[in-house]
Amino acid sequence: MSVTVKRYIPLAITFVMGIIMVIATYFLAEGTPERYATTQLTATVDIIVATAGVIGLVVLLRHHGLNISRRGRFWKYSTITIIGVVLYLIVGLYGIATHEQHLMYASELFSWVYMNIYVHMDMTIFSLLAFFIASAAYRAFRLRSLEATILLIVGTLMLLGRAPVGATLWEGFPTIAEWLLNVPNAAGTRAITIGIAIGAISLAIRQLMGIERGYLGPER
Amino acid sequence: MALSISRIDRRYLYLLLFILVSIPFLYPLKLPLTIGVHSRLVYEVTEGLPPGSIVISSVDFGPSTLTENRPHLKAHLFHCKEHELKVVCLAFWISGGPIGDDVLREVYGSDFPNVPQYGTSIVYLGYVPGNEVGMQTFGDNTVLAKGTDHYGTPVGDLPLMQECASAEDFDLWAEWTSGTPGEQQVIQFVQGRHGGPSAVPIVVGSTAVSVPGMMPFYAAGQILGILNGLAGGGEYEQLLIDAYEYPLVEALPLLDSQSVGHLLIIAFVIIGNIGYAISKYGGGEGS
Amino acid sequence: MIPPNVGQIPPELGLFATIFGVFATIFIYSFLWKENPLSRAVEHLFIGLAAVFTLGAMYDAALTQAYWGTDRIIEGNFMWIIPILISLMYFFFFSKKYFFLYRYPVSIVAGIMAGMMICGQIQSNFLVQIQSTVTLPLVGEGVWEGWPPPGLDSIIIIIGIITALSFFFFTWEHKGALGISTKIGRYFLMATFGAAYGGTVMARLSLFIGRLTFLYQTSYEDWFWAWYLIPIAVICVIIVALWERSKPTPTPPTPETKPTRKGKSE
Repeated sequence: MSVTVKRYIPLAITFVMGIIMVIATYFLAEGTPERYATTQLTATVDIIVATAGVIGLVVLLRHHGLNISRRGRFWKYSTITIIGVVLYLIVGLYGIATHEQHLMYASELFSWVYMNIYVHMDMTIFSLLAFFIASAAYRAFRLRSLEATILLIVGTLMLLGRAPVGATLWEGFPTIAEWLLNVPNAAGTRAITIGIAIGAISLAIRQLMGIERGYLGPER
Repeated sequence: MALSISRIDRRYLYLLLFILVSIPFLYPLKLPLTIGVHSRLVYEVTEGLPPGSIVISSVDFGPSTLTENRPHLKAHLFHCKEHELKVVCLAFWISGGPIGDDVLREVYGSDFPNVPQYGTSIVYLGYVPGNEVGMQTFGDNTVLAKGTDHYGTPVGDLPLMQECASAEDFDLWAEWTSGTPGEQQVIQFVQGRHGGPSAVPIVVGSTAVSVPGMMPFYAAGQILGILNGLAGGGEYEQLLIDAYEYPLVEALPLLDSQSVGHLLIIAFVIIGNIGYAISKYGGGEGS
Repeated sequence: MIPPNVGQIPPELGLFATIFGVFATIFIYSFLWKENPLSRAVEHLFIGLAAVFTLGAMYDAALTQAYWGTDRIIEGNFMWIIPILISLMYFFFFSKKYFFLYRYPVSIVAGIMAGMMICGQIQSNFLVQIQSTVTLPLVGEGVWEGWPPPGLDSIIIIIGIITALSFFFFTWEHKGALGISTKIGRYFLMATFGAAYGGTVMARLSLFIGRLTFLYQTSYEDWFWAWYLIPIAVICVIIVALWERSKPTPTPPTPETKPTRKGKSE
């Protein structure tokens, strides 16, 4: 297949779609049929990306299936992954069979498994960060420079100001924490926000112009 | 001794954290609570809406921040119910779908959505796909963004959705978030496109990590109030207890453990730096 | 109205959820002591469930958006077949010969998002932020009253924004006036990071407090099962840890001795 079909047509599609969005925002009034058409276009994106969920599952199954067949590292745990996928898929298919509109995510048993099985694991894995933060606070945060000192002092005042114990120790802590949040933090964050905005705009323009092509995937 | 202070096995630190943060569960400290300005503003903005106003309640968080965001969502839904506001609840995160359903059952009863108000005062659209694109589409045209509610009923059959066609009909957007898409995307793709903060006012309940990053938007008036993590949730619950005898308290009792945890982290920083200072200036090996 | 899909959950599953939750929590926390088969097993199960959950959500989204919704295929609007056909092109991801077809739906989505990003960032993150900085109160009634006065806060914010932005100017060397400006800007950025650090600690502790709430306060039929299950789970971890320790460690292969040029081994 020619380079035009493989590379240049996708780049052209990207450019056209992006320009349509910019024109719709700045040149088409709300309530006009043209603006409604662009809203329909964005609504279709929701359906277009739906297949990505299938791709993700297939890639996961392929990775772990290969690991099992080659007796790779932790292949027994890959078995657990695949068993979990199969069992939850069975629950989902049961939901599709019993739901009036054959929905999976909205079926009761599928949601129940998510809220009562998956949620415990998700919450616990993320809660490990609390321990790592405590360890880092003790072993890594050193007052080696003025900048580090400012960082730790502000962080400490924030911790004291945002919990009831701070107000119990001294009534000024919540006020100081609020001032730190509203003034110096807002100043620094606003500068970062403006910088990120400039970067994001330039990256989006580069993508529309076809200079950034990473999203197209590898050349095959 | 300096070396032993600064090189303590981290597992002892983990154990100390586990034990000390657990103590308030057994022996509550009942520390007095100061209501912050940001939490009070969320309450006042919601309370200031006339009954019948339309509130969009967006469940944009996952199980990882359930402890912080769930009390925000639950308290605000209760507040809207008591204040007779009309709520369109939805989620732009995949994980938000079942979470929103679970919380709505807690606020409206286990029969939800088989409750009399469903369709007229409360609608749950569930997961609206597309992330930021879905947000923009929802602000432009709610029917195009989501064709059915979470349970499969076409939105054309729900009277509340007839009154809520686009962002021009929203009286408040309540964003419960822990990442992207979140409040910044609502500001960019909904509020910014439809007339600014006066047209689409936003209040946010967020995990504490994200709140410092929101302050420029708060200062610019793009966000009217913020519930800052677990503490913000507790403050809002306290305001609701005072006004409406809020029965579903969740965050308030946990603030004692939060306080103990904060003091412990501060102690770790101080002791760690004392050990470092002793080893550096006392002639020993630096850590 | 479509009736919700209810009545499938027997009450006894609540007990199973509590038991599973306690064991999963303790097994994952055992990772803090040392990585072990139980924590690894729960993590792998988590990955599998997450993938299927995402699939379920995407499937429902596509079905309700394209077929069941108001003014969709079921009501005769066949326009919604087109995005379904386009989305099927994603499957060419697995083809070597026709992989380029996968790029078409990706290009549509990427182009739309890039266009949206330009408009959204310009308006909300750029213009409004600059506008609100420029319109900070410096004169007027009440601006210089109280402590701290709003006028002083405004000056600090303006100085902070200008100096912090100057920190990111890499076109010129940070010397002279620019050097002083970047130094002050760095201090403001450190204050920002300090606030972020405080928020991070708060948030992470809250995650942990949430798990403790489940362990100590979850009950099934008024019985606090978790209190009794925690020691059992800990014993399971200890048994597995001792079993792992008792397994003989595989000896590393000895390096082959190669003969040298003169026939002597190395």
